[in-house]
Amino acid sequence: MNSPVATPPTRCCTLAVACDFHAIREAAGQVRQFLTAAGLPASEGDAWELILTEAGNNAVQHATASGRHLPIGLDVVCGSTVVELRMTDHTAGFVLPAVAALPAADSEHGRGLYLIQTLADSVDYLQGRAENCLVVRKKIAAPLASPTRDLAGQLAESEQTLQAMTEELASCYENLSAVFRFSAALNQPQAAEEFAAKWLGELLTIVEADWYVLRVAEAGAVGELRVFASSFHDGLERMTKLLLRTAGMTQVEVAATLTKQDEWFDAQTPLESADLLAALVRRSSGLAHPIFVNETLLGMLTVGRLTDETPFKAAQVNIIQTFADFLGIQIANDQFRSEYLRTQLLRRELEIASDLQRSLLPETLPQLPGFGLAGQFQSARQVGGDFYDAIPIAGGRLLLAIADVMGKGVPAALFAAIFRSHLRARLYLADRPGDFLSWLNRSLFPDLNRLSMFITAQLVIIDPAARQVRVAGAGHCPLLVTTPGGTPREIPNTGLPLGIEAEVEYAAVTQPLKATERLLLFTDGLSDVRGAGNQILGLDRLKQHLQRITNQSHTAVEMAQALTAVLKDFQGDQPPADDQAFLVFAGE
Amino acid sequence: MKLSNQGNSLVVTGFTELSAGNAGEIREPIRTALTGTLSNIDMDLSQVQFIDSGGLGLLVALQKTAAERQGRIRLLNPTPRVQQILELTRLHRVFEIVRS
Repeated sequence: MNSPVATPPTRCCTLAVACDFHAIREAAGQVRQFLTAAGLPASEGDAWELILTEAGNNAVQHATASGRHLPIGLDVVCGSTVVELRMTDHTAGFVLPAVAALPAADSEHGRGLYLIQTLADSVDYLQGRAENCLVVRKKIAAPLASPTRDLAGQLAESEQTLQAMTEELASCYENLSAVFRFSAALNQPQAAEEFAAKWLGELLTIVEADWYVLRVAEAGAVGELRVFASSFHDGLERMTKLLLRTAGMTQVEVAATLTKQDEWFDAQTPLESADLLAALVRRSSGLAHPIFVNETLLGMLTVGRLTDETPFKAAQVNIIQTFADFLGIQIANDQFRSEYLRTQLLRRELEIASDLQRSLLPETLPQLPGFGLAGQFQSARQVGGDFYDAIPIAGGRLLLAIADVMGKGVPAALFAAIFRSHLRARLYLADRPGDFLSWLNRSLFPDLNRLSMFITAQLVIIDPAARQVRVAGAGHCPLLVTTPGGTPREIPNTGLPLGIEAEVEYAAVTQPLKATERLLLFTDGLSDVRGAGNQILGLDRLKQHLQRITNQSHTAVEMAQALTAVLKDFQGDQPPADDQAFLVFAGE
Repeated sequence: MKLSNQGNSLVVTGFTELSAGNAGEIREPIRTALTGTLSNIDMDLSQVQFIDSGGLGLLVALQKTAAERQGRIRLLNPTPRVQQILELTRLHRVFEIVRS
């Protein structure tokens, strides 16, 4: 860190303002005074007072129900050429227009944003989940004189030196804050640790300390503080995690979390021998500062000197506390943002997978004269890779395909898409469905194998002229055949799923197709559907339902509707855990 | 804030700020006082050191209130700071501004 002579002429004003109009007005007045004291002309003070009031009024007016109880954060940084305001609100947020237009002359509302944009040089609005930040910048018409010259003459006194360092720290505040925001935006999990280490290294120089340990509360692990950054490189293994519930009061860090205030150690009250820190520093003085925000423990910064004779001075303690609180909040924000990003990405992935999956299904099903075809698809909470297709092929025949990619999300949906394109690229193989599956397996095997995924599939070729059906399967659910008043029949799929072995021979079965026969192609989401008490429907019950439906229904569409109703009835209100896909083919 | 009558005008004086924070406190007494033959509102802006969009909104609302009574609102001697904001929002063309 530079010597105080080089301190940039930057001053900060940080306020937490109650969420009401009067408090905002008062704060705007304070900021105006702060800027005037910093040397800004009255006209600029006027402008900032108005900008701040307008921004604050919006934050008050649109605060959420819970946000009304939270303070509006205000940071004003006055540099030598520009003033920047950051206002943190707890509203639902809004979309900042590039240029806010003036409302009609008789409108009683809508001039605030216009005034802010007109008076300022730049306005940005950063939207978060729990809070948003309005950033307003305005150049200073006549650059301010550097206050460093005033300080230069007062360097002799150490307290003033510390004061200057505090100011420098304040000037770093913005840089540090910006760095954290950027690193969070770039989603680099390492960045926060690195920067914490860098700035805490600077802290040691500023307060003439020798060591520090920064712990941060583990997301999802209540009562655990993990070492986030430390000046110790060796000997940390034993103290990586501080378990607040099990560790005794012998640890100064635990004591600080319990008392919620700084705990000191020095010659009079040395570190207990059982304290993990004592193993690293025998004689030391310093303090453990717990970092709380809204009663929530975010972390713990412990800073010390390798002597127990000269404890920290008040100004130094002040710097340690400020530094600790700032870093704690930044790290918590960073973790919060990363977590938020992860859930956003996951949600987006599921949306993509769901869109992809639906786009694979045929929009309309081809129909053969004298027969009906109906399909139904129900996606699960977690999108999977179920898929069906129906393609008219040469000789007035119809190829029905159904597949289930094992896996979830985008990879499963992608494989369903790949399966579909492979299927449609080799339709001439449909005469020999067994060979078709062998070919599909051979082409998909390298990718499936690499990702430890596999696909079960079934191909059914219906030839109305020959009154024949040819079936080949790769580890898929059996084809169910029913006739009104008859008993259900299974045509099993004996072959291995696609992607298990590189070379597999699949056999095809040819059976006569009676005019009254109904075929059901389905994925295991139907037979494995879970109902009340977590019980599974099962293949036998599915067959019973299918037979009953066959006896009562006349068309494929009616059957599909009845089967959908059965599934819905069985699983109740819960969305299915697995995708459900089926095709019904019926002589009509 | 002080309210007085001058012919068919209600004269409003003695306030130093027109903002979202005090718009309600100013509007209600004026609406209540606007009775009988009173139809115009004269707002004395000579003491007003601060106005925000909430204050501008109040002036627009009072203009409508006066119009309902076939009256109008006049802004008396606005300070340079208020004048600047009126011009910035083009409302100086909407209101009758009187200097004495």
